[in-house]
Amino acid sequence: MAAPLKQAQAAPSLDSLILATAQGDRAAFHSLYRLSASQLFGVILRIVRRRDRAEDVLQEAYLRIWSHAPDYRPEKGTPMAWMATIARNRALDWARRRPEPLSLDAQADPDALGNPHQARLDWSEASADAKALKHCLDELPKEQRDCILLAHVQGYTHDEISSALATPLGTVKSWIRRGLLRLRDCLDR
Amino acid sequence: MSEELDDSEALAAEYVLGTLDREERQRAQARLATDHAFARMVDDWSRRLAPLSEAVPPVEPPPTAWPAIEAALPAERRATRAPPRPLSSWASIWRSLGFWRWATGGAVALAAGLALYIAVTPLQPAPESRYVAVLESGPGQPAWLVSIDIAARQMTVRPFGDLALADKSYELWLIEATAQPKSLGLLSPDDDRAIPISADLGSAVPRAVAFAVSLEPAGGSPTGLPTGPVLYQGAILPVGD
Repeated sequence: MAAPLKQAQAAPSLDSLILATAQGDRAAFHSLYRLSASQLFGVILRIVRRRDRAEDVLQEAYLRIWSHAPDYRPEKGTPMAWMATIARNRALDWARRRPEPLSLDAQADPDALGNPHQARLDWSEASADAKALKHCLDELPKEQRDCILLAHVQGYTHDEISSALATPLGTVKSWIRRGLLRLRDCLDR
Repeated sequence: MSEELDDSEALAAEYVLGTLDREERQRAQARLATDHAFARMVDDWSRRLAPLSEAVPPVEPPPTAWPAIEAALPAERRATRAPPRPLSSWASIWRSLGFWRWATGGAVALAAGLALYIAVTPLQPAPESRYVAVLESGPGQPAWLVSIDIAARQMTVRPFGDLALADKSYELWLIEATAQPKSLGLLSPDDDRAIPISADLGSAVPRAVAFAVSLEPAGGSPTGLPTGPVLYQGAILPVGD
């Protein structure tokens, strides 16, 4: 499997490619795509759960990265985090626009996804920010961590988490809020 | 260590986490456009949670993905484009009879295309509660489509084409014959935007005559009334079957 973050640390950096993209450099934008597309496609596919839709969402995400490149600010996070936020927002908007909730299993792409409820997260190539987040996630009680991962990685709503964990909705909501609070206190410490 | 997240912060965190359902998410996005403190909380939560995406297993996209993206890139960079030329001053539109004539004519000219759009739109609420407006920068130059559903207390605003702006905001106003313009919030040039409407605004729509979009400082009008030039406007039309 490709390791986009490792590649990203070789020259040219994602930062400099975003800067060049902001100035309308299409070749730089293509390099940015080559270094980041598999990561963003992985993020999107988890949430929209269908390859055809994921490809549409990937296109929307990169068009937005192109148009918003001038707004990128390194102090707000790593380039990959910035692009992943755009990709996740496009994927979540698409998932929530659907009239009925996504089927959790039927439309999933098992080859790409493995277990539909649980991504195998790989932190080995992660940035310092990501390692700090992992440390704080590891400090949470398991049920709070599971809820946060299901939401962020799989794009589950409160209702879907409640079904997946066979736990009442109110309990799930309160686990999430407590987990988020602890995570904030840990990360901002 | 605090005891619990306050409501705004919990909403910001849950918006970033992605657990909100469709209506909650749209309400949060509408608030994001108008509430700077809330937007900052969303930024902070994005900064905290986004690195999680780095740990998600990558998946190679199909080889068709890049050519489709490249083909869809705009011909020129949006950010360097000059903002649209002001149509006229607010005061002159407000008084001008020509505006009403033009707004009505433009709306009629677009009626056929619009009817098609409405026919295929998936939302199907009661017809008497629905209105549309095409906001134009000049006759035959549509820029935004506004559809309102009073019963559902929601409007959506869809941009046509490339309307991106640097360092400024578009603000949408409801124009009544005998009252001050009412702000409906900021518009996003990139997206369809869903805007929740209050009961007061909902009841004002049937007697309102038009929408207008003014160019305002980033973040919106500092005064609560339009301060910049009016770039787009259009009459409000009820939608029947």
